[in-house]
Amino acid sequence: MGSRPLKRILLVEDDPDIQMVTSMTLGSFGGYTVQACSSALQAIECAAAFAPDLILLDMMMPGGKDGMYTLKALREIPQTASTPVILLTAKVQPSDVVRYKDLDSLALIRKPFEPTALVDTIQGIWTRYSAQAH
Amino acid sequence: MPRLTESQRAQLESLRRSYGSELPAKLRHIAGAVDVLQADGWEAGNLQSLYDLIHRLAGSAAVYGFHGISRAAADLETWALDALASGISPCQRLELLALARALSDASAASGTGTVEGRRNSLPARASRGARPSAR
Repeated sequence: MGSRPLKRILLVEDDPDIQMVTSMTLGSFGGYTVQACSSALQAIECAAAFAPDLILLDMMMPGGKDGMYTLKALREIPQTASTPVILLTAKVQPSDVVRYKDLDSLALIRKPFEPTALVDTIQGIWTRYSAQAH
Repeated sequence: MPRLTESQRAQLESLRRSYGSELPAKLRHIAGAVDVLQADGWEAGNLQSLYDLIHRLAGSAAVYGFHGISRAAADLETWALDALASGISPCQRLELLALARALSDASAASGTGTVEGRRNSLPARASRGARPSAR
């Protein structure tokens, strides 16, 4: 999987303002095909059909269906069972980092992030992942 | 920072302007949540609502380059987290007003205007004539 170029990104982000600028940056600046979802349920509904190369997942989402819940559910779907994940979070307390390390993610991007640097950041993470996978 | 094309720069600036135009409404919403919290006996559900609004503002304002507003919102977010964890002491009630005022000041400094709730709880420093009534 790592040798594949990064083309399709599933963005799961409940904040519409952050979702908008992130989608625009990844799509327009990075040239990726982005499917943006505002909730765990939306992500679960579109994951199989979209079949992303990478999932960009906000960890703090309301209603008890946070990033942990979403990731667990996405792992139950064959098309996203082993899809690499990058976590987005404003919470970076040591205890959170320990919890997130157990989630088998590629990396954690701290919010707020600089939108103009996001494409380079994600491409760098993907390149390292690809190199390690082979 | 990566080099952007003129078109990309214009796209980002357009989004930033759009976000900036919505900031006064977001801040009014927060001022309203502060008012409700004060008026309804500092109830936990209202505190959670205020936290949710502030958390979003702290994150999104920074992403769009409104760093002063984001920092002031982050201070208010920290206050709300502490209050959710430990309850609200009388001292914290006064602190809330100061933090909310700082958010309003940051908004005024960014050119997005000052914020006034129903109870005028978030006056900018320049217009402190009518101070909020701390409960």
